[in-house]
Amino acid sequence: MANAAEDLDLSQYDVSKEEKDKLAAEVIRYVLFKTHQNAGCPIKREELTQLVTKNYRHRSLPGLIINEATQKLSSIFGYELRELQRSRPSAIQGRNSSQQSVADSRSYVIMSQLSADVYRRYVEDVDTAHITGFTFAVVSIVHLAGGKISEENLWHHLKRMELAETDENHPVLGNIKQTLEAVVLQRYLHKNKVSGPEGNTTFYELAERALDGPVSEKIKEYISEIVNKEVTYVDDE
Amino acid sequence: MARRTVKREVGSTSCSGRTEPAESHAQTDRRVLRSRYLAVKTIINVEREEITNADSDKFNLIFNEVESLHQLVQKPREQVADAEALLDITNTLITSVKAHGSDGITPSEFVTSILKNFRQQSEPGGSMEHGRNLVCWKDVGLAVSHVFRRSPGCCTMIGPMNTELKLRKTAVRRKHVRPTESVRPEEIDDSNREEGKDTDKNMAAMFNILKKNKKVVLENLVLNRNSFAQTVENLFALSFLVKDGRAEIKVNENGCHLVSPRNAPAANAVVSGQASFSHFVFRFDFKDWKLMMQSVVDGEELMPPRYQGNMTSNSQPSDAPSGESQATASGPTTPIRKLSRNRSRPTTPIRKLSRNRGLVLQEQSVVEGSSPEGDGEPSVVEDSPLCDSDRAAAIRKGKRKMR
Repeated sequence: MANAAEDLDLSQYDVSKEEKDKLAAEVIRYVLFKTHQNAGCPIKREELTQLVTKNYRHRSLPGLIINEATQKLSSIFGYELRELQRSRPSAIQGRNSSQQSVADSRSYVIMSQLSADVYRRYVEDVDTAHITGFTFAVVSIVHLAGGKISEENLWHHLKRMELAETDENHPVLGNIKQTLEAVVLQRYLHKNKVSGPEGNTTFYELAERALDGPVSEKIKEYISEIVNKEVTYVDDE
Repeated sequence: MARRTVKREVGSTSCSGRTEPAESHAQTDRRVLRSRYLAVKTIINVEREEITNADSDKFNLIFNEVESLHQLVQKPREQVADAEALLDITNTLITSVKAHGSDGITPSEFVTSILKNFRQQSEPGGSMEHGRNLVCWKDVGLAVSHVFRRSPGCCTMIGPMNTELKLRKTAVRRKHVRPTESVRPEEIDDSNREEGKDTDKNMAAMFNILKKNKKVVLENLVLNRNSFAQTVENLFALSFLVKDGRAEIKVNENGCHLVSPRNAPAANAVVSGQASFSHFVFRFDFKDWKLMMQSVVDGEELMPPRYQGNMTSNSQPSDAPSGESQATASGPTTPIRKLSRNRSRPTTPIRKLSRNRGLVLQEQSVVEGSSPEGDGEPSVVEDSPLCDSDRAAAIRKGKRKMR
């Protein structure tokens, strides 16, 4: 019965099962390689749809293929192809503008589906853990600031942790400004310039990746854990 | 919008008789008011954390300050400053309320916790600077890895993802030009023709001598006392005359070879076979030439010597040096030139005298009816009694002096 339903789906799109599998494979390949190439930055939906629309004209086929790829990434690789929605709709106006703008603002990231301890033990990359730590700290600060914080205020908090805006040679994080910029590119934060009476002010807000349900919940959970943890002091002297 | 609500000061602009000191005093007051508003905004910005703190009284102090300043506001500029101060403090409160969604944890508290929990351990040597708050970011990352669950993706070694197959460029071939033109290399000096001409000249000269003298001794006819080469050339010319049937060589009772002219055989005689060729080898080397010089009286040579270029004819004969490969006698002025077999002097076609072009005589005794005259006289077929193959080979290699 499942096969019959599947065949019905395929007949709507006028593609064979082999073609569907091949397209899904191309999407999976693209997602895996692009994730590595982009260092984890979200992949825009239009990049994935192009893989399908290059040779096929059916409008709904990209959606089917992406769903197929999502299932295969989960079953084969243990990756969740998570769809992220930008909070700000696109400025492009046209026919079906709202729908199109929603579609244009979608992006995808892959997240491991392993449990926390297994992930921590076998998957977490120790060499990039410092970036994860910095990302968490910055996102947490913005979150605790109400989801939006001025650039000046953010640097104020970072300075307390010996991270200066002008520091280009931090022993672990290198150029701090660039590291912060990478957090923006990863779509954890969104940088926004607001013009005010005293000139332009830059604000950092939480972006779709930090606002994503599971991630946001875990951030809050761990912030509480850290702050409420009992600390045992070790004398340095 | 602010302007509409401002009440005009009565008589502020209409009366020109208002005292200047009073006006300036009012401006000063306004300036002071604006500066006080600026101070309040600075405090709100700096102490935002404390303002939102429930335990702190900062909010009340600042708010009361703003309220008091508000009573002094008269002009639009101060109204703007008043509105901005109110906006700042409201934003601070909103941020605080939002933060209260995180169990009331402020960013400062969070940073403090990070510093406490993940402070970088100082080295035993105490190299860490005093008072620095260095965070061990790696430990933070490992602690929160499950929050983001990053996936590394796959590294591909097959190049950029958007590499497209490059279309092979159409090969542009040069237009193949067919070699329709015939190539005619430049002609070098046709030494053959010259040689042929020289030989013809020699033959003509020799035939004239034969016509004049009727019967001559062979040695007198061919010898050139001063040049072995020219002697050979003379012999060469004689061989052609004999081949053509225009000269005959006979041996008298004394054993001397006598050469006399004669008419060439008719064409039908050649065709019918009455006149035919027969070959023999006339061996003649340097020693033979030496002997010939002894046998021929000086001055009896019939063929004139042939000169070319700046070669002199003053070379004197020398007694045969043993084993020397010199064709002519040496002289102080004669340039010595090494010649190989492949390089010939332009005027001495000695190298042409190969085995295949040797002296050809009609053998009357050997072939019946072969002689055009049929007189049955014995043919002159002799090898040089003094043959020396090694010396001959060395000589023929062409190491000789040119006159």
